[in-house]
Amino acid sequence: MARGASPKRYAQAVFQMAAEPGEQDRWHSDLRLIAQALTDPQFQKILASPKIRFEQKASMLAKVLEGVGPLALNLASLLTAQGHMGIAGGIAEEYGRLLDDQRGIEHALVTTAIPLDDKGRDNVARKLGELRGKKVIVETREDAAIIGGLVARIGDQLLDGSTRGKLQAMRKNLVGSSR
Amino acid sequence: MAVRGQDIVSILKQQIEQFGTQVAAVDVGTVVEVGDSIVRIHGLGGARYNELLEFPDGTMGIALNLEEDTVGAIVLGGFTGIKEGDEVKCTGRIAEVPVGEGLLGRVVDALGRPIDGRGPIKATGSRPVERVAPNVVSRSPVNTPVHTGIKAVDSMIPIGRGQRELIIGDRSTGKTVICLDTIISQTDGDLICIYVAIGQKASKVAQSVATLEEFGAMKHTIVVAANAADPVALQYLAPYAGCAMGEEFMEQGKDALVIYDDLSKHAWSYRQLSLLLRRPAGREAYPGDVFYLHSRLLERAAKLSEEHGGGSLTALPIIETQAGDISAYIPTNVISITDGQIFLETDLFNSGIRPAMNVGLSVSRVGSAAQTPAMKKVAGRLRLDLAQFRELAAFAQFGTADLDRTTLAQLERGQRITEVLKQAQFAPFPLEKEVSILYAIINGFADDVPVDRIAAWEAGFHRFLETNQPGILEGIAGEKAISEDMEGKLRSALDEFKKTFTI
Repeated sequence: MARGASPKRYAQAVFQMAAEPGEQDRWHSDLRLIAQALTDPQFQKILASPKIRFEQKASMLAKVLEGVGPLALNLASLLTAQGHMGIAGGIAEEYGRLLDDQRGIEHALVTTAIPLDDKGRDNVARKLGELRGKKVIVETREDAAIIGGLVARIGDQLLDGSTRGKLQAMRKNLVGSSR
Repeated sequence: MAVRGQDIVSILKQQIEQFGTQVAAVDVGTVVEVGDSIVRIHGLGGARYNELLEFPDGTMGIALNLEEDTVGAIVLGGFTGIKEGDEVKCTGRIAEVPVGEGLLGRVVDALGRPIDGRGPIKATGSRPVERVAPNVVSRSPVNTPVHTGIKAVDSMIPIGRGQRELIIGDRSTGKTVICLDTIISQTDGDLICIYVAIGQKASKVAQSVATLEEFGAMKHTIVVAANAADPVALQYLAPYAGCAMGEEFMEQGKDALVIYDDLSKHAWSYRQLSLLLRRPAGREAYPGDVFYLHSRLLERAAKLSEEHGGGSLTALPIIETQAGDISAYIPTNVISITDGQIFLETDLFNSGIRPAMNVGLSVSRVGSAAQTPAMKKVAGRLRLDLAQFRELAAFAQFGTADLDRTTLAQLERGQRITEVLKQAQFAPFPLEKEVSILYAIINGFADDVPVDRIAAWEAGFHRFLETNQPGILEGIAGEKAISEDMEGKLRSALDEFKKTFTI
């Protein structure tokens, strides 16, 4: 199946180039800047225009992205030359994920029925961290529909400890087999 | 399932005590695209091939394409309740169907859910629909016949238990009838039948079920139906489900027969799924693994060795050809997988030869080893006579006036054999009746009977044997062989009958 350019591959390449921790943070912010610039609809139109010579586009990029590292500027030029401006956001996102992965950080989206205070949030973060063996940064959300308990989503994994989930499981156990 | 009040209370008590004790992490993904029985899901990094997925509305799916960021899945049921953004969960299971004696007499869908309105199924267990076929060590050669009750099949293209015999032919040439005849013929036997209807009209399936019920054949039969209006994923799954139900009986040491009606439509449904999943298309737009689709299914038919219980699963796949083209893609595939084929022709059907079997193109590669001695005794000669007849028949078209007497006799004999091999639908013969009439024909007892009177002569002969000489029929049925003593009795009975029958 034919696919477009994969942001994952670009992010991996950048990740391999930036080895030092200081450099990694620099790259992270640079990538976000690039993403912002390249995905701006007006600017993207100019960059995609075949009427404008590449040298002109490159100098425009250098002006817009003043202050980013020379390698990062190269990346922006490369993406422009290949017409892959659209994936810049994906690269920044994917790079952030790779960075978190290396540093042992995971993001969790925790849904609760009642609002969590700071203490509760720390508690949940610690418990989830123990479970995953990593540092977990918790983002919370409220949803009364889950009745009680909490639902945590970490990456592709879902921990359903809600009362709603348990009631559903119980109903399936009791009713499901006789249907 | 519990029915008494006390049981329900105790189950509820147990449930309440255990409420909320276990929380397990499950893999989840998000639906990004849905349509035509296909769902594309983002995430689900932990999904495995063929794993069952659960959608929020309770519908199940099967993960078929595992890609870098997405999973392509088929939906087992209606997909109208699924929308973009829905959360999909992995279940850690693969598709299973209920199995066991409780299914006998029932009509179920591809997931084993009843569709005959007769209440829940009392299954003894469940089995995964996909399984690797038995290996070489656990198999034994085919050695027991499947009695189809069709004279032409039992004598010339015998089917053994554990064999895979393809039934191939154009539309309305009697493919299904051969299978239904075979099921009806097992009414007093020990063979459990599973009829898998794939992509057929619901009215046709209802008709087949009604026929089976009329002849009392449903009590040893399971019907698995994925009709034309059912989701294509179910049509794809149905033969594997039927096969799993048969395997359960095979592993209990019993004999089962599974009919796939038909695999052309199965290939079409798989082609649809594959194209929608954006798998590369090959010849006639079928995907690259369309051969494996059928080979892995038919390989599961087997005769197990005594150490493994000695059970068997016989497969009768059906293929519908277009304008008699047996060299099309799917027909050649399935011909090469099976142990022989019964080829039905429109021309023969229209000229009144029913079953419309083309004896020249039909073969059975292993079944003759499983033939009973009685049938073997008549079948060899029958095949020879018929082959000679076919050769001469081409000449005889230009007139029989100046042919010599031997040739003429061969032609006459051939015509009578052809006449005897004709058989009405849903009227299977027991072995002893098949053997006795074929014996009479190949030994020239009917040579002086006019061809158009052969059917009446045959019926008369059987009636004569039943009323005057029941010992002969019982003897052949019991011994499954024609001893010399029995042969003498049969000859004298024939002589006697010929005196009474007025042409």
